[in-house]
Amino acid sequence: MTYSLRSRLLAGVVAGITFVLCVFCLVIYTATRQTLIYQFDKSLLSTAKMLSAVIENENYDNDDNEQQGPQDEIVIGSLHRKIDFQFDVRAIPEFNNLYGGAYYQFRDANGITIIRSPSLPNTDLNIFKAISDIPQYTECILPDGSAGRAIGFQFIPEGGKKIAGSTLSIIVAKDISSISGHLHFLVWLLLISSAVMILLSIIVALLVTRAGLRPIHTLADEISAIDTENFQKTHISEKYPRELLPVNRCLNNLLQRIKSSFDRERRFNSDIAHELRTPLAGIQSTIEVCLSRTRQAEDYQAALRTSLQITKSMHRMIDTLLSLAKLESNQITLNYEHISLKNTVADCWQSFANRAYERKITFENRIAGDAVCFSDRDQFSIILFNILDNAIEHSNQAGRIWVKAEKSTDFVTLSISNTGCKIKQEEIPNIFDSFWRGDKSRKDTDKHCGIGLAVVQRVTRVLGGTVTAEIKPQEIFTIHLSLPVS
Amino acid sequence: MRLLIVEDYKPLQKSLVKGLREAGFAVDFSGDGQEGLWYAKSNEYDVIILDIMLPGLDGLNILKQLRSVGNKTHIIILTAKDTLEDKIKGLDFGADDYLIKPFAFEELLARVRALIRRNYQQKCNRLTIEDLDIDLNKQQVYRNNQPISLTPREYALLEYLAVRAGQIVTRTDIWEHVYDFNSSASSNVVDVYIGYLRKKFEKQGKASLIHTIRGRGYMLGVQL
Repeated sequence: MTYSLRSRLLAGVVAGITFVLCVFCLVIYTATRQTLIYQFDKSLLSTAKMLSAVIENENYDNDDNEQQGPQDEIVIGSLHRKIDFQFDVRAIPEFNNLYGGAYYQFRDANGITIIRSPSLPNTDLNIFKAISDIPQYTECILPDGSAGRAIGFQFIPEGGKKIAGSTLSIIVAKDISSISGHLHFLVWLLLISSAVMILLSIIVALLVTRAGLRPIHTLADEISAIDTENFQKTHISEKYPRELLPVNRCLNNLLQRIKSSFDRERRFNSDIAHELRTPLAGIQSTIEVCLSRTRQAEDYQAALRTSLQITKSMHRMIDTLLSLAKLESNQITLNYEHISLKNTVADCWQSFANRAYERKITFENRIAGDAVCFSDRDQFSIILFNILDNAIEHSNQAGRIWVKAEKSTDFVTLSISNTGCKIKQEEIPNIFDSFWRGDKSRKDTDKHCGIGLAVVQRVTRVLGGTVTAEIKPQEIFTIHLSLPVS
Repeated sequence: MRLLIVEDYKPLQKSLVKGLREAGFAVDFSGDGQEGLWYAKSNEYDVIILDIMLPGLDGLNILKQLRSVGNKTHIIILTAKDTLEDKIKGLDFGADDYLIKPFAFEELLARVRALIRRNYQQKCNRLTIEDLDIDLNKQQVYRNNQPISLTPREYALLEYLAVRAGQIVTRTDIWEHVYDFNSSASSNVVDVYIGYLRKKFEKQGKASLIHTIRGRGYMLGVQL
């Protein structure tokens, strides 16, 4: 199933941004909430401290002090105590409204309530299970039913002695609706801004992915513009981002290889076309002309002989072209081995010895006995056969042919020379072309089919070697064949 | 009519020369580009049959060089190259016709005849001069609907005179268009053949139709 790269990128980017935004909002919300609660707790603590500071603890015995505020009197065990507020607690109005959202309560060491705020007429603030002298905070439900926060700690009132049972505990609780209001506002703010941010991020991601993916679209366009019929364009430009370069390189490589195999096929077709159409035309016109009127028996025989000879040469040509095509498309397995050059050249020359003798051509094998190349024996023989055939074909009457070998580090260069060369210097680049013929006279039935040196070049290339031609003074033509030695 | 064949593939060259000569043409041939060009430049051919892949000089170059010196000879390109580009290239270089190998010999003959007709502004295959009828395709000659049997050489001579009927045709013209390099180079061979033709026409008991224009040549048709 295909999917869109762009949609995937877009979805990924938007999901990522949404996730980050969520985490961010959560952090903001928690931090703000913690800060607000911390502030609230600080104010709770200061209120509680203030309340605890204005309380004095006196024994009943010293009651000559002037009463300045209302007093509560509580009997704790056998000890009489007087709780004394140094100022009028009613002066703190927030504790005066009944169920007004702010409450306090003092208890003695036995948990007996000593004082309650006016807002708390007859309910207890049973919020903490145990109270120590370290202030502790908790969330709670206030007597009026709203959510609140409370502080509680033990303390020794002013003037009291540090004896067991003299400690009091204070609990102050306040409504936190103001914090909730702030937090509600924050939540809405974060939600709306997140939504806007996500919307914006979708737009930005759309633009960015479009811009970012443009090279891929361009590459796709360029690839689809390649004409798979004739492969005229076989190179994709290198203007792409670094990430696409491997794709680019691989494609170019592939295209080049497809192109070369196309070229090979085309060359084969062209070879077939040219090398077979002409002899076919020869057969057809020979037969047609012969049949155009009644003739002598020997005329028919001559026409048949010509046709047969052409047919045989076509047969050879087809075999050559087919094996060349097979070789170039790697359909022939090559068996590489070390081949003695001197012996192979000598063996190959045997097939030409008679022809050479007839034309009084002398042959010299000047190759050193230890010269070897690393190649496929059959293919190497084909190369040698064609070069020697060409040499003997173009050598002058009573001419010379000689073969030398020179070794360099990785290659051995075999030089096959013949005298009597009529090829001009400027024709050298053409001699490896399939159709090119240096000699003016083709044999009657075209035994020498003209692709000899083309075969040499193409087989040599397959074997990893190179072949060049050279014309030296005194009409000496030399083919240099370089082949690997290992 | 005189033709030049430039084709390096010997079996094809040989059969074409043989076939075309048997069809009554005077045929010169060459298997080399340079030599072919020299032939084409130094003789007046009615049609040149030209291969493209040639040793020495390729056919398209021959074509180009001939056209560049103003040679207007009709040229048929004969080649194994069968792509559209090759055909267009050949025709653009100045070829008059293009024949892909292998081809039927009859087709080549028909095309050669068509080009020759064009050479002499003839549209049909039958020539009528007075009471003389010549079927160019069948190479049959009739006078008053009576067939006259002619040798190929006699026919070739008559045909050349017929396509130029009413014009004075010089001995050189006849020599150039009716004889090839194979013909024996005798100065009076033209006069001898004219004599043969006249004799065959006179057998029918009529005027020979071939007139001698003193000091200039011959003319077929009614003398003005």
